[in-house]
Amino acid sequence: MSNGISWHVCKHELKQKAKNKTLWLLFALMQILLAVALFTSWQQYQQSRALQISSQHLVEQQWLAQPDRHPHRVAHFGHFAFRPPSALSYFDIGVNNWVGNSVFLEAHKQNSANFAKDDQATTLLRFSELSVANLLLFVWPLVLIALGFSTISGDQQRGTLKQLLAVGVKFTHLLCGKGLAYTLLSGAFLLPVFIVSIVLSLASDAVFTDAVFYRVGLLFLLYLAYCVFWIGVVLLVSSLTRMPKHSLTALVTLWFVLLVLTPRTLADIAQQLHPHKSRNMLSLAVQSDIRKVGNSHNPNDPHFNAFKQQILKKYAVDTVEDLPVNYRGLIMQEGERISAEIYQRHYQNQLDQFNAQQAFISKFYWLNPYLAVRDLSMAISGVDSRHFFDFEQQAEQHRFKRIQGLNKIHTHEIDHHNDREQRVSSSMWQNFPKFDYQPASLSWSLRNSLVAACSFGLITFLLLAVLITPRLQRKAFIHA
Amino acid sequence: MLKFELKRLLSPRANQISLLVFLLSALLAIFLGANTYKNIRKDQVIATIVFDKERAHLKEKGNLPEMGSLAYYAKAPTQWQLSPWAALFTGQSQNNLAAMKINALALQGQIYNKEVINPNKHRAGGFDLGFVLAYMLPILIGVLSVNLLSDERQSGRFRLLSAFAGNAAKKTLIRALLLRFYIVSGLLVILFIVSATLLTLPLNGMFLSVVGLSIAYCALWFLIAGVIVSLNLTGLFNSLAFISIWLVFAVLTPGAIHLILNQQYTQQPALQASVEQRLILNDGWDQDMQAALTRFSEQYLQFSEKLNFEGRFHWKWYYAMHQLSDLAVDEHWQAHLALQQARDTSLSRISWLSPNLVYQQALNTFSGTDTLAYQQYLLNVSEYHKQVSEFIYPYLFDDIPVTNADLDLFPMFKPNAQPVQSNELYYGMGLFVILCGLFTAIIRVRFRHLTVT
Repeated sequence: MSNGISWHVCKHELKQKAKNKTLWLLFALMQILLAVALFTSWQQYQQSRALQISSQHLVEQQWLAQPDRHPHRVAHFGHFAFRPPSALSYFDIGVNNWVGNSVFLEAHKQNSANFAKDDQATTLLRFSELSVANLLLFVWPLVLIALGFSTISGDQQRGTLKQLLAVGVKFTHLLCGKGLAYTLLSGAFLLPVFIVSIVLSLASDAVFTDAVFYRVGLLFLLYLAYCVFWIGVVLLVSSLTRMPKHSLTALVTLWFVLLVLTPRTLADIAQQLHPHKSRNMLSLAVQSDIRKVGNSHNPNDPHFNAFKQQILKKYAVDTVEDLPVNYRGLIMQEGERISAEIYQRHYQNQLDQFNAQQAFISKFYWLNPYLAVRDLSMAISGVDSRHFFDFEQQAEQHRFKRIQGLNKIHTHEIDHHNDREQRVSSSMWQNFPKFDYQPASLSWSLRNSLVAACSFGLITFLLLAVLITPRLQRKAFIHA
Repeated sequence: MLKFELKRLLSPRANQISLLVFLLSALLAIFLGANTYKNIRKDQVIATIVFDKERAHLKEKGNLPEMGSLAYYAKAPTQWQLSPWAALFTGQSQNNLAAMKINALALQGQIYNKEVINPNKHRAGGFDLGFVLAYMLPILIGVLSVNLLSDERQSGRFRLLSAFAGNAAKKTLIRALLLRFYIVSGLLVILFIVSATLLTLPLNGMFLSVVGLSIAYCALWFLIAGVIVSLNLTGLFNSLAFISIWLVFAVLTPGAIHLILNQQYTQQPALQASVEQRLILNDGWDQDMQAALTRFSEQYLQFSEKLNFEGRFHWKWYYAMHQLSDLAVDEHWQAHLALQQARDTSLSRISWLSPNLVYQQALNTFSGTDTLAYQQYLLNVSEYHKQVSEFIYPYLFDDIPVTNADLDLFPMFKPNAQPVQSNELYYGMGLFVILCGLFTAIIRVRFRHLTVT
């Protein structure tokens, strides 16, 4: 019986909405917007992917085409690592517009990813780009508000709520029915874009893996839950206010505070509270730490003198000239090890600061579920800054291995005497492993998402619980 | 009368909250902006101090190495001369290097470096006074004014006043709108005065122009609200219409423009420059060094007699090689500059589709934080790079040893005080005034037919 009533309410609500031509128009416009966003993001994804593949191929060719050289020259010739766009970046662009796509890998020096796509983002992307994720996160709640703000308060104003309650319809059933109607509507709204997303990833020349499928599935659930959250908010506000006008004002204010105001103020405050180092300060810190450890060019340097003694002892010889290997190569290896370690330490400090900023923001997941859903969506799509920093770190590891590989050639294939005059065959570096970015697994992507998922789940659950509390029922009776 | 109107303005809860949120956000934005600006300035000062210290250290140590080696490590500071306005309208000042350090090695290997940013923070959209004014102010205006008529009608007061002679009802309505406009404008002036005090902005004509533009922008949004009011529809319709207009201007139009520009400009000449430059530079080691020097001397004829050297390496060849590698990719560098300019021109040409965008761009241009201002800085850096290179060449080619006195001659970057770009301000003001006129005309016509229902 009760389910029957809810179902009736749901059908009635849907019928009512279906009669409204403006709403149809709004619905259609949103679908067109989504289609445009998906299509253009897809094109851009294809472009970036093609560019990444061709650029990576080009630099590999350049690497292989080098003539016979001194290995240290090869180390300075260096290499590039290009960042492939993550498989779902056409759904959620995430931080991609803000970060670089390529890193120059060279000896002695760790470069950051460079060549972000454009510089106008600071002007044009105050509300982020028109991606599917963004439209769903940002605009769809507003449409839901427009659809449903008067759903209860309108009944109240017209007096139909009183009648309904008088004939014995429970307020909970009314809410369930209306909630169901909007959930179905949201489902119908979401479904096309998700189906097309799956079709697109199947059509992609990248290998379609189960993981992509799971990710799309998770995103669908996430966004459906996000809709449920907003529907809950709309129903609650509509029940608590007596006039549709007031419901609308309250809902739009809430939307504004949650989606426009707090995300950026929190991000700014987080950075002020946990400032990271600027580019200059970071390189200054790295440089001065490296200097503290030792200078291989200084004959009286304690660190390198100790290193020398250790090597001489190891090979049981008296001078570096007597070593069976090239001492300069060993120095290069040691120097690279030291600088990489120091850089890694400072890089980690930076990451810690970024994490502290993120942790500060995540404290507000409980108050602002939009933040949680936004970050979850980026994590599932593999486009948050954590994924970007993972690329930078993979590039750095690759750099280190590549340069140390060359330093080993230097140590073993180049004679200490007359070191700089010599060259080794280019065949020595033909078999160096290529830079092959390992995309994150789903479990890695989601590793830090527990807080966001829990906060969002709990707040939605609480909201739904509040909706069916007897107190709200009583209030509805009194207001009605 | 005024007292009554003020009471009517300030008593609704929604108005109180909106005014308070707006004011607090603006103050927070000013405070955070001032802090960030201070950090940028600090970074610039530290870069200079570090350079001076290194120089002092070298002098103290004595026994200076040759110029080639010195110049290799001499990373000289430059600075993007940002006016204090940059604290309020940050533009690109936060994700670009404002204190780039440069040495005499190839410029193309250095000039594309960027500031370290937290991408998540930028993804959130950035928060400065420009944001508060361009995007939040319209919402405040909407809350304060879009339902004036429908509320009056609902309370029955409009009908009552309409019964009086002399258009009392319409006058009341217009007076209420004007009062709100004055109060919000007053608020803007106060915010600018607070900013000026905090950032010691000069109270000159420019200051007045910025305030003027902001008030014109404010008037524009009041008139948009006025047009909606004059349609004489329900309060619900008014609110939804206003928020939709805001959404289209603030969110959808800029997003769409970004998509269009991204589709239009797909080339990445900077990346090309960087990849090729490193290739040319390294290949130089395997090529005839004298030939490279000869090519170099084609630009620097004064050294053409001094190209020979003994041994396998000479710094003059090393720096000549770097110079040649820059030259070889010059076409990409020029293409990069042209691309940035073209993008900027396209944006200016299309930005009138959204007043928010026009306003924001005008403020960024004025405060010198837009694309072109940054490009101008890069050109200054490029010029300085040339200056540094040309300073060291005589030491390399003439084999002159460096003395302490020479270190003091090392050229320092002179920040180029850029002319204030106020054209955009006037363009924006002109556009807003024209639009205001248009909307005023619409409102006048509509109000003439305003009837009580």
